[in-house]
Amino acid sequence: MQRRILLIDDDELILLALGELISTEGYEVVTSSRGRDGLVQAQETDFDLVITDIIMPGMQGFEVCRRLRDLEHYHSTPIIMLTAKSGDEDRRKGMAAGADHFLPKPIDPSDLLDLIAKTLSRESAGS
Amino acid sequence: MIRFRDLRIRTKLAMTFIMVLLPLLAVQAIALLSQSGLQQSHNSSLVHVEFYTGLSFMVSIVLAITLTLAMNRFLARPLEQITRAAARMASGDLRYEVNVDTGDEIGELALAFNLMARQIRDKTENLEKLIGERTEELQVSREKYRSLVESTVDGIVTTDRHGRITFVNRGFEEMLGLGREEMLGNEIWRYYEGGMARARDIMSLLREKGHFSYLEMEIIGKDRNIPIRTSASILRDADGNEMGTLGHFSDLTARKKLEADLKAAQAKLVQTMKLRALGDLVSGVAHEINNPLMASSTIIHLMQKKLDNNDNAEGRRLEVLSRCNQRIARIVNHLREFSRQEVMELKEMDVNEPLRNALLITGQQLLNMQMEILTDLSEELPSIKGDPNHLEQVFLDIIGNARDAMDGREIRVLGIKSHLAQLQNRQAVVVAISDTGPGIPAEIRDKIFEPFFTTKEVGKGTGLGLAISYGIIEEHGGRIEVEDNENGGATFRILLPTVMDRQQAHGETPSTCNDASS
Repeated sequence: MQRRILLIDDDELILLALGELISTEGYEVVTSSRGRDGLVQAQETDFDLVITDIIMPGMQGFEVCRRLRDLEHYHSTPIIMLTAKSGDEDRRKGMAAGADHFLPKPIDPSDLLDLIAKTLSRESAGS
Repeated sequence: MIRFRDLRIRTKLAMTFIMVLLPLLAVQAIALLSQSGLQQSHNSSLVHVEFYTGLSFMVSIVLAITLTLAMNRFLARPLEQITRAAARMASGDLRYEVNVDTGDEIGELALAFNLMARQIRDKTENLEKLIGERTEELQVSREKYRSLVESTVDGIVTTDRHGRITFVNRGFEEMLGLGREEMLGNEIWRYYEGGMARARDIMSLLREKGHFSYLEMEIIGKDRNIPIRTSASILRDADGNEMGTLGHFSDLTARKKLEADLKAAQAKLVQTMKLRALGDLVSGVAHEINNPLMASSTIIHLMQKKLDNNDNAEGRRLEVLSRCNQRIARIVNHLREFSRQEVMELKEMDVNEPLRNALLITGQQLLNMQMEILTDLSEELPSIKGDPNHLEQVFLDIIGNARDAMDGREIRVLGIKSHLAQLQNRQAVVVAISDTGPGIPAEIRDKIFEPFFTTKEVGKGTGLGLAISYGIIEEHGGRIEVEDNENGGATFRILLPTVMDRQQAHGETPSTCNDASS
């Protein structure tokens, strides 16, 4: 079954590039440029993985993460955060919000794909 | 009862005269009587005549003696006393008083004389007192001015009309480090920086207005030139003739130093503010570049992956694009490090640890480039409070610079040394990284820590490495020094405060290596 990934980032170029990258690997990608829109989409479709940027206009990544965890389906769905900063502060906040992984930008495409593959295989092994 | 001595002198003379005259008259009367009786009885009369003549003679003698004594007692002696008193007065003894109590005119003269003597004495004493007071005032005033002139730290100098020094105070001696005996008689211009020409300028200024104030110049001391501020005026005698000059010199060394320190502090502040503003800018720019760069790299990655063979035209073009992106990414990373949004996490650590890690990372590469590595790490270093990752970054950067500096040179030796050093009042752990490259020209030594300053070829360096390292070490309370080696090449020395010194300084100013200026 094709795994579904939700990608949230306020930068259109990131959505285009990463969407292209991830979908090339055979995943189904849905993109959203707003945190709030992403949440709505997450409720409509059960995604296997969520990748979200942290700093966005409107709802920020941390809040998106917290709200996702409140949804029944997303209790244990892996969430990857893309951070512009590599500081520990963001990592702590993200952990508190319930994120699983952090990738500092700029992200190496192979690293992202590896992380996605690893996370999803663990997920499927666990489930 | 009226005593003789109470009688006035005229009476005395009259009485003396009568006392002498009466016996004489008596004798004359007796003699006349004797002569008339002589005619009556001639025989017996001869005997009488002889008798009276003898008597008269005797009385006259007695009277003469009496008169002489009286004159002596009432006239000569008091006068003599007055004469003696006058002589003693003349010789300065104003305390002596004539003791004549005759009650007559001589007595009055004596009294008048004593009065006069007393008045002279009083006047003299007043005068002496006045002179004493004035002398004392003068001495106090002289002493005041002397101590004023001598105790002021400023230099005070007078010269004669030919510019030769006639007086210097202690302030001037101490300012120049020369004794007055060395200076007196010398021309003042010998001590002017600019010599005779300077003296001529000063004299023309003086002649124009008679004085000038606050001229800044330098004077030549024993060991060094002293920056001073001088005011001077022409000295004139009572008739207005030029006697020489009076100069006043204030030492500006401390002020100049303060000004220089202030300037340095200001420059540092400006630099810090500039760096902070730059950091904000850079951070924003880096953030903005990051996303499109990432997008572009991702697409290139996808395209390269899709190509079966990268060794065709398209593959080579993509490779160029990829390298463009890599370079942009490196610059962005450096910019981000420079603006450093991450907070450092300082912990107690051994400085050798990040140093060894840095060597581990670069070692093989250096050996591949046929570089010799000489390490001398002290195993007895006290702990420092530092962030191992950031320190490793610093060491990597400096080692990388050393490597670049030695690339293509005949002798390639990298020296890595750590040791404990005693600074002025505290200890510091020192890491010295030396190379055998061309060294750092003196004129750019100040600039190498400035952001975007680089001597490397375009594309090889961002000019941020040392600026970042500088910031990291500064946040550790340490400092970086750089100097050229004797046999060529450069040495970077990183000084970091020990944990103990940091703790000792706790509660006071934060302990840094920076207060122990080199």
